[in-house]
Amino acid sequence: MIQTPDSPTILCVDDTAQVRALVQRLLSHRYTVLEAGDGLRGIEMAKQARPDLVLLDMHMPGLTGYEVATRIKSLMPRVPVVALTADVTADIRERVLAAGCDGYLSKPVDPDRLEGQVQAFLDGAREELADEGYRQDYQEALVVRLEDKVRELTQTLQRNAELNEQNVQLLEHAQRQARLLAAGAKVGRSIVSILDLDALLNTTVDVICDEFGFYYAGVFLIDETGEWAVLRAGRGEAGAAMVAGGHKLKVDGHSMVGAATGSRKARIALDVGEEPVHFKNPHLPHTRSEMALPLVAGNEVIGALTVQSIEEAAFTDEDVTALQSMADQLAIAIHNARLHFQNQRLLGQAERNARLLAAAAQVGQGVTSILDMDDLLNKTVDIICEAYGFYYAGVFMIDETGEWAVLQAGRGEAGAAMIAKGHKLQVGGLSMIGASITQRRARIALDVGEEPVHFKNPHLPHTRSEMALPLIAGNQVIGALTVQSVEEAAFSDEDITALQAMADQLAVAINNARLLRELEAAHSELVQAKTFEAIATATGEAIHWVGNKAAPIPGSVARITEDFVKYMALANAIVEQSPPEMREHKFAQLLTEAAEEIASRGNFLEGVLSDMESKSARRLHKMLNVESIFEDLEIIEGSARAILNIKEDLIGPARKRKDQLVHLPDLLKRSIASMGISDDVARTLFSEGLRPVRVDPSQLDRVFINLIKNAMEAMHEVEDKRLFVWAREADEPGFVVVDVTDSGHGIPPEIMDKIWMAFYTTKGDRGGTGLGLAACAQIIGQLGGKIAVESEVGVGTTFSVLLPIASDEKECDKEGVQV
Amino acid sequence: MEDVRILLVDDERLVRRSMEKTLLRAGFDVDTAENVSEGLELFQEALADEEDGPFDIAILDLNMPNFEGVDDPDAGLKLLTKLLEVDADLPVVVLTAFDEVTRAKEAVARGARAYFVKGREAGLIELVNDILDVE
Repeated sequence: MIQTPDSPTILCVDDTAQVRALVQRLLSHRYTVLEAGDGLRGIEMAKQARPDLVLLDMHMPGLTGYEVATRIKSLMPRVPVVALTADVTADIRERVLAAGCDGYLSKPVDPDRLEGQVQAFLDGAREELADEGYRQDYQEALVVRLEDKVRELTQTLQRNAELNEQNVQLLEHAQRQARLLAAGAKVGRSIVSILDLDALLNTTVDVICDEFGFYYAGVFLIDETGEWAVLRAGRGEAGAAMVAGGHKLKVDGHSMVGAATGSRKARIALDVGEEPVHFKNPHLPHTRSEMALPLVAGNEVIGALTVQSIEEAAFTDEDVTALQSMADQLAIAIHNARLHFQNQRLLGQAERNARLLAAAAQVGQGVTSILDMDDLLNKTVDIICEAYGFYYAGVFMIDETGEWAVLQAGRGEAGAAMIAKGHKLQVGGLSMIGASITQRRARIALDVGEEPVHFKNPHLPHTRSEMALPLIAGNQVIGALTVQSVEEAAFSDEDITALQAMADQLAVAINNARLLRELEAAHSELVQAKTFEAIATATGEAIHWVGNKAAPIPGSVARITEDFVKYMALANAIVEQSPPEMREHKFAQLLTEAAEEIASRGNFLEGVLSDMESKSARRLHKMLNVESIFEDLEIIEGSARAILNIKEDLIGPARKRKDQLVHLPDLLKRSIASMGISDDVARTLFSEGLRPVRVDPSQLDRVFINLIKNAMEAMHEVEDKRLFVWAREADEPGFVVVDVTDSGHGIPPEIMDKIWMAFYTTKGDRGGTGLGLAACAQIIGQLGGKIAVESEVGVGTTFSVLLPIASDEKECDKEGVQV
Repeated sequence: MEDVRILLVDDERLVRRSMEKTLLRAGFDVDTAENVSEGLELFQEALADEEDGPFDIAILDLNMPNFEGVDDPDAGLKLLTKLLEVDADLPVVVLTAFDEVTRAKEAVARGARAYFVKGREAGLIELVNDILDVE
């Protein structure tokens, strides 16, 4: 654009950009050309720029060129306003002049002439309106147009107000929506963290009513049957009353809740009277609007939420959306709470299981270490009842016939009474025990009245649940365990598992006890065999011993017989050689009879005699003398006495005892004195206040005499003979001990264990029969005491006799102490 | 027959005396000992005895105190061994109770000429005579 400070300014107002551009191109080399695209802007620009000329298009939207011309002319009457128009109607010139224009240029613009035309107007050229009528027409048209514009403006304002109102409403709606959603979120937040189902539901209805300002809210959950929606929580007293009353609505029924759960869709009754599925609830008389929202968790309808308002038509579609989103959260929360509850229950079950298993383990441990069968079974039933809190437990064992399960142990008096009666149940019979044995699996009767195999037991009237568990050891059913509870449905599957585990352990324990019993039987047989062997050994020893003692007897008898025959032969020879009158003498008669008698026994006196006749007198004497006969008789007597002496050793301990309270020092003093042992050798030490023992004094005397005799014999070849008898309280409570110590040659270790063996010492001249120590041990054992020995070869031996202190010391005072 | 010298070793006095009498009556020259040590001593003395000469036969009990003085069911066997060490050809009869025949048989296996079950002493004379006849 080329401008000079003094060049005239031209304002071109035209809504057509091409026209403005053309004007610019044609005039700008000489004038300053301003442009405006519409009327209003043209007026504004004219006011500011004070142009020297205005080129004005007549046909523009908004303010027309006419109106702009009128306005500019009123603002600056001296500035020429030239119309540019394509209008070719007859009176266009008059009409533009009437509007206030100073001239008229027709479109299209003539480029060759425009500059000249503009310059002419700048130079003062003006056209005049000849007919004033046009000016009046124009003013009338202008007023009409103004009126239209005002009306249009008024309408626009009204429309604006309406739009504003609409906006406010929309805003309010959005705010309510936001509040509902916030409330929903709050409900959601409040409830999702609640894991206790009842707390969750109660909090939910409270939060819904408080946040949304509803009259009532309630939560229904569908029961296990799937047929009923049961009210689990309700707002206020109405809710509490209905929950207490077990309020429930049929799923898919006519109620709104029923319909919502059945159709999985929210239902709204804006005026409850108009909604056919609404059930008039006497607890909620003020309800005018009601909404029922299904609670859907996962794919499952778990219940419904009812929300009620005292306002009619209280719920909009948006409310439904907001509340439904909250209901969805509630459903999830309920689901979570249920899962939590289930988890808690599972945890509880797991804990109970753990407890049961622990109890089972306890039973297992408790019982597997018990090897006495009766003890085992009784302890088992006690432990089961105590650990599990059961009413009764009993153990049945199958008898030898395999036909009956016989009660071996039962809890309490009922058990004792049944055992006393020989309670038994047929294997394979109708009883639970019988059935569990045959089927080799646990049987449960949760309500015993319903279980066909249960036998109503008058001893156990309170049983409501019963379990029978087979006891299987190895592959064999050995019996069954019955467990009974006063509670119905007391046993879960887990209980069965735990109890069966315990029953299995019990079976093992029973089997162990049985094996032990068999082992004990075998052991006792073995012991018996050993005893027989010992008896056989002892008998062998005895026979050996007796045989040894008796060995000389036949020899002596033979010699005496021989000598007797010889003497008779001599006597008979003399009789035969004597005169007849002598032979008639009764003595001779007697000798003759004897000789005949001897001959009749096969001893030929003639032979004997002739044998003797050939011998010298010296040889005869050596062959036959009375001394020898008496010696042989002594041999026989000695042997016989030795044999007879063992009788006392053998039967001594078995003699009937005459127990009485005995004061040991007195008895020991007397025993030592009776053996004539010098005080140089024997020393004694007796503790003061030594309590008496209850024994047969003659037997105990025998024991100590035996021990002292042994001690003396042990010191036979020892120079330094010392016998020490020491009586005192034993270290073992309730016992006194007497030590008999010698300084003898000691007992070699290799025969230490043989000294207690009867007949071990077989040599008559030393240590008696050998029965001594065996008899001593037997007597002391019978008195409830013990005998022990300690010995060192070359140093000496100590025999220690432990005896129980008499428990009836009081009788001491009455009877006095006897020795 | 007077020349036959017998060594009898038995710790049981009555048994020893009874057998001694039986043997004496049968005409044997009997020396007795009540334990193995004494028996061995008598045997060794007899070896040096120029007048009577050594024993012709030894009769030994088995179950006696041994050389240490401790009761020993094999004491006679130990004496047997010592006697045979000195005179391997010495006839030895071991005495045994009827229930200890096994041990007596072992003695025979170890060099004794025979065993004799104590009791019927006439049988001992027959046994001694049989052994001496074979000699």
